[in-house]
Amino acid sequence: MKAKDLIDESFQEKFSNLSPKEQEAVITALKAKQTTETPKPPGFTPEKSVMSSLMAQKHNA
Amino acid sequence: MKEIVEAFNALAFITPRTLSSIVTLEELSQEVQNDYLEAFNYFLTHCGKSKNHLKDLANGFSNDIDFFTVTELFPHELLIKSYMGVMNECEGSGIGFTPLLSTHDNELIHGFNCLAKTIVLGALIKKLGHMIKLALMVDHAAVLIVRPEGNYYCRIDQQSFILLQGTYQQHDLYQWYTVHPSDDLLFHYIAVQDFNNGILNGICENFAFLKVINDIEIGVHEKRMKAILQEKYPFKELLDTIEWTQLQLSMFGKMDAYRQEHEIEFLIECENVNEQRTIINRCVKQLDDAVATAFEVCTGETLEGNNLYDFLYGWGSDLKDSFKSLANGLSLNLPEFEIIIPKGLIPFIQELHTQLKADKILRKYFILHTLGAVDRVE
Repeated sequence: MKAKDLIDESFQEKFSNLSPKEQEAVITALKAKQTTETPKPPGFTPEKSVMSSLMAQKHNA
Repeated sequence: MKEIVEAFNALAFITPRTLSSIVTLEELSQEVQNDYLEAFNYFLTHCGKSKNHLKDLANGFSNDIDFFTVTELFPHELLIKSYMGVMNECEGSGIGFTPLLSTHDNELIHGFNCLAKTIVLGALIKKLGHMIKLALMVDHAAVLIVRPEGNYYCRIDQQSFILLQGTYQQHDLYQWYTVHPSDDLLFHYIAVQDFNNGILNGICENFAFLKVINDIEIGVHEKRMKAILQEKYPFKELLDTIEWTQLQLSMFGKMDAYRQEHEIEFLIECENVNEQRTIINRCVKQLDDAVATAFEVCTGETLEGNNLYDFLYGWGSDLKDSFKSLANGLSLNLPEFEIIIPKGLIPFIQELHTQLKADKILRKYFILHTLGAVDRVE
């Protein structure tokens, strides 16, 4: 299970349910967003689950 | 080529290379992988392992099925050091993406990020004679092991493998993989690239990002990285003088063509992953707040720090069992008096129960996280 299991509808699902015209508007907005925001490259990923599991292992050891 | 080798000598390698010894990207990539293994050895030594541990590990696992065992044994120490570097307020270990940075004498940048872990694991698996590829997601990287039965996606942090079941679309310098529901990944799409070139491309992209965060502020983690860059990073000037994005485009542009050729899928995927990470991050924070409040209500004492819930979960079996009982009870909609917990913990668990009942998404997160079903990274 993933984060998407926490919510009723993920962005992907919401997008799929839009009309073609609405989808086009969303894509235009996302393109604009890409030009103003610097996306994080591979490597800048949150890794709390790793910390959590290791912390647990450490305490259990 | 000279420019990039000089840059890698100053910014990436622990042991600088002779310029004339590297004339191709293939050679540079090999040297990068060797240097990463040197950095990995550095971590192993700091973890109390012998200097020959890596060699022993590689020699001990040379037959066909051994790659399954390698990730069980090798990343544990690696992960500990990565995680030790981000104990405080940061959510990621993003800055440790070169051997030099990951071994830099600073607690924040000490450790490997996911790209670096991918490079180390890939270099190790290659040494065992397996063919590998680089799996690139919107903000994450992983190793793919190419086998006759299919490609295995290595989940380093979970120390497991997935035999991918989805479909591949072949392009000139990459494959576009569409994830199958049974793959159970957070992502919907993966760009599959040549490992040797892909990691160089990834390092350049990380440098490009590191350069940009001098000018913009994105989040707590990046702000801290920026502060460190300004105060302690000795290579800032060189980092700033190189046009990383241009360099990346000229050398690896065709590998990254999926961003144009699959533009719509890529844009939606970026948003989708971003949304999922935001939801999880918010839940992590809310659960810590709920735990701290419950603790304060019951004891009058303040509980401070990060990852409070995970900390308490790992503290002892009574707490762990109580959290699991509460998660099971909430999942079955049991009234709180039917949840069996040790007497001394009843007020605390009851207070937590009250807080979780008030927020549907947080309650769901608590259940999934406690029962081991939420995976934040992949």
